[in-house]
Amino acid sequence: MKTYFYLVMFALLPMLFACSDDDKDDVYKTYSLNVELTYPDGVSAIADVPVVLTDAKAITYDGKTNADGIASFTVPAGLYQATVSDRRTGDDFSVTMYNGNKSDISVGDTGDDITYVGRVSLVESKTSQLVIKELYTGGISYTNESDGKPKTYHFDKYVILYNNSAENLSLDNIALAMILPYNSGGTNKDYVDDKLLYDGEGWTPAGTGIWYFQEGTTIEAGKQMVIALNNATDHTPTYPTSVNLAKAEYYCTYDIEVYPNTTYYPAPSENIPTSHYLKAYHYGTGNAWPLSSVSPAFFLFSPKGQTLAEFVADASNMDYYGGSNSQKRKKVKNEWILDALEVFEKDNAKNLKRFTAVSDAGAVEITKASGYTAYRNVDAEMTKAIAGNEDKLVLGYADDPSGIDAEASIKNGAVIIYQDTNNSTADFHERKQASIKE
Amino acid sequence: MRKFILIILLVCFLVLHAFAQHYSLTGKIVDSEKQTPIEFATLILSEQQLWATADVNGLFTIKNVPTGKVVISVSCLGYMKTDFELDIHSDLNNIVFALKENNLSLGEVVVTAREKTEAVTSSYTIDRTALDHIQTQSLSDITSLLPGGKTNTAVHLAINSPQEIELRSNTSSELDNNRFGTAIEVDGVRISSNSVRAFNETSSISSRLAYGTDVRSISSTNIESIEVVTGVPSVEHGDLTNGMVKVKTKEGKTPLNVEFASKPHTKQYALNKGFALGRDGGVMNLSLERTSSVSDLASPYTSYDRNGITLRYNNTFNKTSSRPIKITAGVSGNIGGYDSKADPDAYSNTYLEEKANRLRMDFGLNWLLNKSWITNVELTTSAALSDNEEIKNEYESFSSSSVSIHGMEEGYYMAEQLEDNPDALIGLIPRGHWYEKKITDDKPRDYSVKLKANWSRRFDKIVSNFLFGGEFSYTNNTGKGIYYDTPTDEKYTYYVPTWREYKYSDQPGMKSTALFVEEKIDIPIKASKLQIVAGLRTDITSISRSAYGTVSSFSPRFNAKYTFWDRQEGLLKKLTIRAGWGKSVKLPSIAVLNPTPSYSDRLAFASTSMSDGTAYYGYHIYPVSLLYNPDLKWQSSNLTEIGVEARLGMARISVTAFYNKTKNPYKQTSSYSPYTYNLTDQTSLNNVPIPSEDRLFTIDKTTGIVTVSDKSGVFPAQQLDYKTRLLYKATYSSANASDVSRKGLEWIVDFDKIPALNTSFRWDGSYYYYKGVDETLTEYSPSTQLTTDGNFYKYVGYYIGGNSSWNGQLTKQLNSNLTITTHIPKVRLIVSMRIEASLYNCSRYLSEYSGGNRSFVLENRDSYVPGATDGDIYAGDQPIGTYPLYYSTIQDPSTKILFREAFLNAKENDPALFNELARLVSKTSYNYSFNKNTLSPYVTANISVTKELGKIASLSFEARNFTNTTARVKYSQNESVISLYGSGSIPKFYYGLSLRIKL
Repeated sequence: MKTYFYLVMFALLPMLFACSDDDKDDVYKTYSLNVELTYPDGVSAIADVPVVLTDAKAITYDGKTNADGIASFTVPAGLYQATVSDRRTGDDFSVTMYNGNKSDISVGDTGDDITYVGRVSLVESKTSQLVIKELYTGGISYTNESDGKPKTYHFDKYVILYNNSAENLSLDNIALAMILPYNSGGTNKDYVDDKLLYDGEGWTPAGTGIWYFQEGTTIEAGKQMVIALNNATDHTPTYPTSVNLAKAEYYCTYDIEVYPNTTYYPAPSENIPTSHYLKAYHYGTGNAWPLSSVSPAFFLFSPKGQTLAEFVADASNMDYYGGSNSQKRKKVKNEWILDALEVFEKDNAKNLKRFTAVSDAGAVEITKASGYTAYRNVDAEMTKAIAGNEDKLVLGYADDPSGIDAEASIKNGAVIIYQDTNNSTADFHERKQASIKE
Repeated sequence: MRKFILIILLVCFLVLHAFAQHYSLTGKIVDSEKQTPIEFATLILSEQQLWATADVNGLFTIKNVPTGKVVISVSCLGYMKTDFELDIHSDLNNIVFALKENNLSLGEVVVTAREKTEAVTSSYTIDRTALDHIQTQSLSDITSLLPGGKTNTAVHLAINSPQEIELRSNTSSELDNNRFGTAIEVDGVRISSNSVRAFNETSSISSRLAYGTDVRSISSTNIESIEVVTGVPSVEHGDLTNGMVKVKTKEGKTPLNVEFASKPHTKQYALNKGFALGRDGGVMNLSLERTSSVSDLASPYTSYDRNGITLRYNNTFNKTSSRPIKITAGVSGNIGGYDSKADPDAYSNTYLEEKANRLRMDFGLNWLLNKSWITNVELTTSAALSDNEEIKNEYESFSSSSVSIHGMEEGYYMAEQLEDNPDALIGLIPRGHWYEKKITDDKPRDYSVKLKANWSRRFDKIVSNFLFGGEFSYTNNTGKGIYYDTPTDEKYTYYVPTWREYKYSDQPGMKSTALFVEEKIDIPIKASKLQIVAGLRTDITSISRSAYGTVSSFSPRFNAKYTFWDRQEGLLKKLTIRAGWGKSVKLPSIAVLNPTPSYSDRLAFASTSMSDGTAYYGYHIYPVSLLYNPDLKWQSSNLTEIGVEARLGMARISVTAFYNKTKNPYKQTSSYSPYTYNLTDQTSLNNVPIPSEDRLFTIDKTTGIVTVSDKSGVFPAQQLDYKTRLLYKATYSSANASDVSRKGLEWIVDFDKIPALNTSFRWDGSYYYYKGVDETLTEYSPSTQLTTDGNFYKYVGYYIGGNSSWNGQLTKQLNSNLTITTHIPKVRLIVSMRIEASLYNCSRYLSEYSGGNRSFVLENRDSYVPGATDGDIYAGDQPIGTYPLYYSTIQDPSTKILFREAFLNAKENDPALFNELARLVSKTSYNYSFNKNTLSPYVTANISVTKELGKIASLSFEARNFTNTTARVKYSQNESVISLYGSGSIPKFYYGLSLRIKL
């Protein structure tokens, strides 16, 4: 009898060891982790800043900060990396990003009921909220089938505006403008003693007319707006190397009350709703807005303290290029300029700058009539800082100094932030195909 | 005034009647070297208006020569014209006149313009030797030989605009169209540009309503001599305001002449010969010329060609009788023009071709009646036909529908697809690629018949010549105007773009009748002589079916010349004074009277584009044509001239001063009237349920309301919303600008040849002064500009002389030339160097108004109001503003409001009105705009050499601007300094070589 009791005890012995506290119960234990953001001097924390925590197995946890800049997580033990990008939009159409990441945040190794803290120092970088993403004015060359001689066509111009920020942007009181003289090669009568006469006077000339948006037009956060600048139809049946501008989400500069010239502004495609037509104020001579197809100086501006209508009606801000009464332009204050792009004609030794350094210190060279566009470079630092982007970015695009192929990345689901250092030499590259062309 | 002159002439006619004795002269004309007879030489007694022609043996007879001293001018082609003076008291037989052959072995050769001293008014003769020496390729080259003249800067003829001649004027920015007023005549046939329309089509309402005669199509190698009249011409000539160029082609027996000229851009080949047709068959002159000029040596496909053929016949019948009759008949043709077709670098099938085909025919009869009541009767008839067809083939493409508008009636019209209605008033050209072939069919025709008679009388020593006659001319254009051709071609598709039919042949021509009388009296007073010419011309012009109807004008002309003495010895051998005054009227061109109507097409509707590129457009068509101006006066010029000619020691000096006032120069003016039209845009389509491919758009012709209906019939038709817009419409009319005045001084000093050096010097020059200020009230409005409230601009400004900062100009120029000619007869060589200097060249813009200040100094460059103190606008380097005198609003267009006070008041009290009226203010382009612009002096030189090789050949070489000067000149207006090289003020370095062979 005693022998059976000892046998049973021996048999149950392993069971005692089998149940242990250090088993699975330990893996499911979670800890509190506070990720604290440290902003640069003078910058205060704000709520709802996304913080992404990534563990060793690439599992991500998303959190948002509170008003003190602290994001709270409840996570299992392990080593984590916290990535923060605080993208803020300023009143002056600027986007300031506070980025930072901290790796090797260890959780769960020093105790169970304490709150672990990871501090992330944030570094500031700035860009513009509203940027010119792409400008296509060069047109294309095509060969006429009947005689095989190349000809050029440039009524398929367009510009793409982009919202670099995380908030929707209203386009009220914002205008598209260009500098007169229209081209950069050749004599520029604004140069006096090797300096632009308006450099130092704080204004930039907007030649002949401006386009503005109908009330209530907005660009959504992180989205683009394609604006056809002459002919918003599908050009590809007549000119196969051109683009198709007849899409419902596109906009067009079309105002037959101001510019009834049907060669420059034929009827837009029926796909485009009439609310997408930009309107114009015209104060110069001529019946069209002659944006150069070789070397335009294009910019966006928004007057402060007055509406666009008041700005155009005011006779005191009128200037005449070369003093000629037929070359009218308006003086736009430099602080009103939201974004500027200077295009130079490729291989022309006489290109002269028209923007002053404060708006655009450089220029991008584009070959005309080849279907090439001026495309903005990606701000690699800010783009990679956005949580989740790194995996979706498509690299290997040699024309962009960052190497990031923006269009392919966007198709892949990434969010792109474009660089804007007010210098087109650094901010733009020549793209060998229009981005809207499939 | 006119009646007074007529009475004087009539009294002279009736009172003076004398009896005089008459004798006959017979003799022979021979070559001075060979003593062989010169056949068909001409003898003229210009004072007595008698003439005769020698026969094949050189024998001549002149009958009814009055007693006393006569001057007989003997000439023949190829020989030097010589004057022989005879004292007639009885019949003279067996007179022998010897003529010297015209070549470089002669003692005296003139290679510049020779003054026509026997004429009473200032005129110059340029003969063949001079034309060969400067290697004339076009008639416009001769103006360089006139006093103060400059070498033509045009290097070739292959330009796309006419080449015109201007006399006594120097710039093209003058108010009156001086080149239109210069008359060109070839062998008595006037080459007029009154009916030419091709060049007027290039700009729809051009500020230049007419062009002068295009001289490029006139052959230059068969010209024998050219007479240029810069003074008051005889009343025989009308329809001019700025002098005459009379070209005489070769007439007479000549050996076969072969010519070849080569210059960098131009090649010239010519052949001419004068055939004697038997004993009494007369002479036939034939000349053939080919001149080909290219614009770009590297790509010689843009060219101007001149292929001319001239055939002239002349014969004198009844040579030995007292009543010979001379018959001349001529046919002259030219085929050529401007062409850029062959250029392989241009796009295939795109080219511009402008023909300049000409045909001139003339027939003349000159009968020496030699009766006591009439001396000579002359009849000339001529016809000049031109074909200026211009063909322009251009390539077009577009990615959506484009419109082609043809409607000519006022109203609203909707575009239709060309495949549905090929005759649509507004057609839709489908998207794609196509060609447009534009043909301008311009065929001006000029016909004229002129009959004149003169009666020469001698009363003791006084010779009186009474001339009277009439001329009838008719000019019209039988061309179809501009039209488009759509040839069927498998390779290329053709469409007709926006175009309206306007046939020139449907427009009436201009008939002109002229009557003229002239009395010329030569009164010798001891050793002096007084010549007086007084004449009156009346021009009656009528244009049927034109509001201008019949217009008549009178042109009195008066010239007098007093020769103090003319002898062979003494220091002051000859002294002559002459003076003239005359009026001449320039008839308007057909373009002024019947301008091509233009149309204002305003977009009234635009649909959206469908996926196949089709879009529908509606337009409001408003025909605009030059309105009839009942106050339009014919442009005329009053010329006053005074001249002195002297032979002082070794020099021949001639100085002429002139004052020319052009009255009522033609110009174009606009006026504005308000009108409304309805605009329907795409927003009105937002409520239309009909799918786009089923939509059918129609527009009401009068109201402009667009209705869209459903082709499939499912949805009801709908009227679309529209917006009514009020704006000004500009209409144009011909008008007269203010008078323009010119003054000048011309001088020529010819030094005799220095025998030791074989060299002669000629110093000539001209001082020219022009002032033209237009004070006529002109309307202007930037009417198609919009204000920020979306409305069209509501105001019209009324300006003195136009809305530019200046309404006139002052020009002063002093040019001088020195020609050094070395002529060595033994070697038959002539070398001349011509130094052309521009000594003073000053111009200045003027802003003047007799009723006050037209322009003023602005506060600062950006301001629109005057500065505190009344500055002088000519002080220099300041911003100048110009206000209109009045303005009116679109709501009340007939009320003129004084601008200045209203504007300055609005500045303080009504900023919105101030901003709008500011658009009517003109500001100078630069602070230096009103500065005096003086060009610093500069010099250029040409060198020409002609060498005869025996009697058979002659070689000429010319280098223009042979130093290829790169000197710099300064413009005082803005202190800019430019190099003369390539500046356009001087001719480019250029050389030419020509060879003439006589067989």
